[in-house]
Amino acid sequence: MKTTIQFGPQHPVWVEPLRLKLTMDGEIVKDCELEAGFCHRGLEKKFEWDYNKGAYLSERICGICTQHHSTCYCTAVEGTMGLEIPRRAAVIRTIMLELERLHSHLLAIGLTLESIGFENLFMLCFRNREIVLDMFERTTGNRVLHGINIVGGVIRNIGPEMAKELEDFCDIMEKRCLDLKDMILKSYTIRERMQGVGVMSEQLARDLCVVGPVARGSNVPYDIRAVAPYVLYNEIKVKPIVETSGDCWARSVVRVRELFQSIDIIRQCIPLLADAGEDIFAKSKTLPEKEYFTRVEAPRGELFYYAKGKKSKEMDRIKVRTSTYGNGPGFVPLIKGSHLADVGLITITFDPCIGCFDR
Amino acid sequence: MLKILANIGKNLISKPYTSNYPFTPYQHFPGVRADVTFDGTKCILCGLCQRSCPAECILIHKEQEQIEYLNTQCIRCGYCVRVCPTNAISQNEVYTKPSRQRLTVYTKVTNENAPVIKKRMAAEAAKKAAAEKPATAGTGPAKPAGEKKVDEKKTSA
Amino acid sequence: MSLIELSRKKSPWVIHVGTGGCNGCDLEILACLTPRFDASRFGVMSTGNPKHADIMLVVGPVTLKYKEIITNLYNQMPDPKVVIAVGTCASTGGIYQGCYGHCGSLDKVVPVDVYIPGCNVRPEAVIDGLVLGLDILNEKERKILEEKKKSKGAA
Repeated sequence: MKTTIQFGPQHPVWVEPLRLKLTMDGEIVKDCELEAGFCHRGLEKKFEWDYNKGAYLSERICGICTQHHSTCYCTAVEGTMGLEIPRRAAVIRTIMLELERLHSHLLAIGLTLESIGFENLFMLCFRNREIVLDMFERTTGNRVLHGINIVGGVIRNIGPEMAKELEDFCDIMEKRCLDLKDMILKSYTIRERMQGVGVMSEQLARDLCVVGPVARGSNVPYDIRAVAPYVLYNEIKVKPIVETSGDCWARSVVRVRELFQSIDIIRQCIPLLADAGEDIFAKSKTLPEKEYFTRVEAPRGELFYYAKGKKSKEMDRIKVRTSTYGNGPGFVPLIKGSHLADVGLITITFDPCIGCFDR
Repeated sequence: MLKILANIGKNLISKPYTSNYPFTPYQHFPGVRADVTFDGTKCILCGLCQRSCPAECILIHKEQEQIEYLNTQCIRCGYCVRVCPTNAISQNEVYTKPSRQRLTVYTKVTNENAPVIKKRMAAEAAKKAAAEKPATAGTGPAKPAGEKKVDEKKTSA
Repeated sequence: MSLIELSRKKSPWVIHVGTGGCNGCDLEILACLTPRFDASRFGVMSTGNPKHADIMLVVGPVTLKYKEIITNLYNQMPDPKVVIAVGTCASTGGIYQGCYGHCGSLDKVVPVDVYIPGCNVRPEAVIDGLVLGLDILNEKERKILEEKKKSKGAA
């Protein structure tokens, strides 16, 4: 007997609206249909305006990877104008990008643990996340939407005092993350629940072109920071973290291990601040006229912006391809054949960000 | 096992992590971005902030010499503070309290250097000189009604 | 103060609806329910079921596709109910002014009782909004009771 179940759009597992139409045979999912578009606001059309305002708009595509979106947008628009940002701005951007990844991964790990019913560790993840948010508030002035990236550089400087605070923050954070890592990796319960659930083979991952931690969990070493370095990643070498098994466990472990990578990158960036010049902002003398595209490794994977100017203050076209959009097709083959109780867990390990997905 | 016991002991002794917010006052770091305030004595009614606001939350009424600031619509980006040529806009650090209605703040501009006001004053002076009668200084309407707001939006769109 | 009113005031259940914003305010609501700004101190509990909820926290500009669902959710909530528009987007549309994919603000779809400005909102503001929402909840409760009394007296 076949039953059809509507999973979503208002579902406790996800914060955001997404609908899965599941055709069930008893407890086993036979067919799955993904319906998106609940968050579609029409932002790509809205981007055809003053490029300075666009930096603020690009932040509001997604509140979790704010910094990545605005960095990617600003780099693309700077490319159309042929503008080179000051070195100090690049260092500050890199630090912010890694801080952002830290808080996004903590959120993703927390939500994954909550979906399997591990409330305590979820609370702990959020408690650790608050330290990152405090750091953001101190450096940029807002907890989630930072608004420090503009076309041509950044608007807030990280002074020597702040650099000292950042170093202290790295020490505290590393200690907490080590605790968290021990708790997650050594926990028998979590491993039993997540291992072997939602396995994505390496071949499937390559076929579907999934990106980010989903791809790296399936033994595909694809990381934009290593493949096509941007802002400061030419100097700071990043080695993609890879897990082989491709199940929910592997995807979560990739995220846990990337926490330490991010802390390491922030540590490497702080001394560079002292040598960099005082300039944090370069004023452009030309208007955007050429075409340009940039790729950024957001916490969820590859983020792509294409910008085209028309020799005026307004942009001609901005195309955004977000990471969840790349990962979206990966839901369906994994959910097919799994139990209904696993559907929430499988989708949440993809770390879906529907705000990005639909734009 | 020993580690668990040590952790339990540590947690029992340590202070609670939760901030006791409604009973203790709100604390924030310096430089936190909140809503903006307009300084009527510095503003020259150039309208740059209105044009640059991404959320279209600042409306400049040149005839009534006042600034209409839709607080609930503001996104606290701080772009207007950066573009203002006379530093008439300053950013607050304390967030806005929730309310039952949308908030709109009106600021009366009293800067005599503003071109619009200069023109009006000159016109008034000329009128005064012509009629030799004391003209009452226009204080403007206290608060424009809802209809006016709609009109303003229509003209700007 | 009746017993029901007291118990409702001591433990409001909230439903959190994300309608297509940028997630910033969603995260702050989550932060509100987690250790740092623990709203559970006031008995606030997040529930996924609209039929159990007293307060609806709505985040983001209401997208055209979500319009129907949000009215549906609103109708499913039992009386008295309070709708809180969290953040600039839900209150007025915020930066998404003029985008074709959403219908402006929440109050065009369902009646809104409390507006919490801020982009993104601070967790403290959410707590303030919940406290304000509780007062409104009790006002509505009293109104319903009075109406009941009146109809009883008439009958």
